[in-house]
Amino acid sequence: MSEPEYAMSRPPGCIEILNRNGQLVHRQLWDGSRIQIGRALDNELVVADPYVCPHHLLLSMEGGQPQIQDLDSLNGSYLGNSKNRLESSPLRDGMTLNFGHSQLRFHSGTGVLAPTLRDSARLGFLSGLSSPWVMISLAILALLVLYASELLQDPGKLGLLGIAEEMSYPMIGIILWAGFWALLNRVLAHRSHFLVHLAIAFAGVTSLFVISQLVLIVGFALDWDVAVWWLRWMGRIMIMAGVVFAHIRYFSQARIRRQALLAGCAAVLLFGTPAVGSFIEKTQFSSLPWLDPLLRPPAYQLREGVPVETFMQRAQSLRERADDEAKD
Amino acid sequence: MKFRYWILPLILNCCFPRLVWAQAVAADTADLFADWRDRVLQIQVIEKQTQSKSGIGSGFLAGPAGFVFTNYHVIADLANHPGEYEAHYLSESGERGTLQLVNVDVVHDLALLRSDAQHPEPLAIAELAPRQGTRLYSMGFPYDIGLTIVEGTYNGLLERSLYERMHFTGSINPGMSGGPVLNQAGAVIGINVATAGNQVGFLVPAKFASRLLQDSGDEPIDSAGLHATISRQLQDNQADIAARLLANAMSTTQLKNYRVAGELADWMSCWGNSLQSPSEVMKQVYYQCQSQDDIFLSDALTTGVIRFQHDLISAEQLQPLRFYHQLEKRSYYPQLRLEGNKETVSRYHCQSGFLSHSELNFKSTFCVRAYRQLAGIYDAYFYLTSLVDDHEALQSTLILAGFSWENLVQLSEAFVNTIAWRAELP
Repeated sequence: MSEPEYAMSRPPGCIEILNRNGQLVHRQLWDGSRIQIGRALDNELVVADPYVCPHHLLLSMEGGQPQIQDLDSLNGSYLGNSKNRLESSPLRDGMTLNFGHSQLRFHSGTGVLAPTLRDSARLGFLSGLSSPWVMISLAILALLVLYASELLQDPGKLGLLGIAEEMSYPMIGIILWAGFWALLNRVLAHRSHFLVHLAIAFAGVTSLFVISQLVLIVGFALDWDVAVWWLRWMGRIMIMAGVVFAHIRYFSQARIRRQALLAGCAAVLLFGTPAVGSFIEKTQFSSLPWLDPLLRPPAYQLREGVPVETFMQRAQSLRERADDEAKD
Repeated sequence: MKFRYWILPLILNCCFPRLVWAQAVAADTADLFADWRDRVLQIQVIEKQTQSKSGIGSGFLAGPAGFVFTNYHVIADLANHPGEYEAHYLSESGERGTLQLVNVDVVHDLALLRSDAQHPEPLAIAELAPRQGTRLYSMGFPYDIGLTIVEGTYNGLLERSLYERMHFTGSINPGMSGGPVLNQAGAVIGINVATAGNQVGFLVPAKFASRLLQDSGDEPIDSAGLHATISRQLQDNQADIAARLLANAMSTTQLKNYRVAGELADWMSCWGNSLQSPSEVMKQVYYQCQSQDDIFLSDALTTGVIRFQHDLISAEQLQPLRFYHQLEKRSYYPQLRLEGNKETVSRYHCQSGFLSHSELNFKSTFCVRAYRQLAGIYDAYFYLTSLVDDHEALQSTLILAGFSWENLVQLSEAFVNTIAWRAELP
């Protein structure tokens, strides 16, 4: 939804005083009258900065133009990043002036207001993530998935302590991941939304496991061993892109297309390197073959097996590939 | 029982003196030594750039003047990298000279070299094998400590050997490879080639030296000619092995509910056992067979190998998905491996797929690689997992090294066709 642009009515302009940390300490409307600025209490605007002179600056209208004048102060005044001491200068919209350890910022009445920031936490499909029930469900799902993954990896019987230990490592990883995004959220959009980022991470882990197992099962059933390698990496990259997109969406004000692009780049960076590494490893010379047949229980097999004679006829192409390589 | 021969080339960095028991040598041994000592030479393979010895063995003068026999494995570096190495001989009296490679027999591990210098009368080659128990004398330069004569006895031909080998009871040590084994008349009966330790030595029968001589010209062989010769020898040899294996139905053995390929020939050695994983969930029964006489081509490549392993894995209490996931993980760490590096072989090229054979279903991976300098010779790796039972599976691996494509295919097919499941078993 677009909102109308609001121009500030003129005059007055507006002057703001910022402290040494860039925080706004004073804002006042200005109707064009003479304003003397300094540390002394007889000024129209008093600035509590020990590096500012008792009477430091004078703001006035000269010939219909806002004008700023340094009152021969000890430490001087400087426009923007200029190194030259200011004596007097016309003021334009958005100009900043450094004096003492403080800053004066001027807005004329002609400036355009920036659009209102969209608060993703309260809008759009991701807002549901802040619901405690959704979050708890996602956390339980992720825990189940981690447990299932642990069961697959380890054929032994896992005791409660064993399960807790094995699952603690991925959990720490998830928490650190969510913490990173919460920190970014805090820096860029004031609030951390840690639990929301945690919920996104849980959803990511769950879909990574479920989709990758689905791909493997379908790959086995249909005898697509070669395609599965590509599908797995593509799936990982796409899920990672989705997860990063959800995190970014929560604090970024950029356009959706730009957010998606950023998420895609991040996912390719995160999973592209291991994918390329895995591909290079497969193509490098090794005195051991890469035997990575997909194996699932017999009931999962959908395609019929071929007789060994047919299988060996197909292998003829392997011979040609090996011959070509040996000739190089 | 698994036992491998030790190949003998003495590499300098592993050369260290050993104490040996002084043996009472009969007077005739002393005469024999005195008579034939100048026919036995030390063979040194020299790395050209550093002029340092990369390997040492023994050799002897036989055949036409200037011809020297040794083992192929002694001069393998020279055969594989003629530009980087050269062969020298060093006689017991200290004379030194260069040797040119004339011919090789990689199957029987022999090499024929030639020297242009003047040498004493060559040794005679005795084609007929002696009677068991005949006293023989092995000569050579063990551990680079000077010419040695070792008395021993001839104990017949090895029964379980793919290539003819004589069993010599006497100490053959590293460095004596390629040295002659003489009878009391001073004729060459065999050539030192390997030892299993404890006075169990192996000789190449002298008739193969005669054959090599007949097949050889007078001139040194060039690199292309050498590769063609080796390629032809390996082709003939693998054709012979494959024909012997395929002539009759493959012998089988039973692993619980499965019938699988067993000891295919008397020159294969098989053994098996059962194991249980530490978590006591998975049980494994394995059966492994391998040919005993691999052909040494270089430090990086051994060929003429047949090896297979059957693993019967079961886990009654494991849910099928978990069980098959464990089977999948096992394939990441292949049990059997072949040597080979970038310079000698291509990468493995693999295909996977479902394979069915009567009542059985398999997931199988077949990989093949080609030899770089020996056209038409391949190594194959065949890996099968049966898909018939939720709690028990057979995982079989077959390795074939140094075969023609047609023989690889026929042997692999025969290997699969021997496998049967309980439904088909009597």
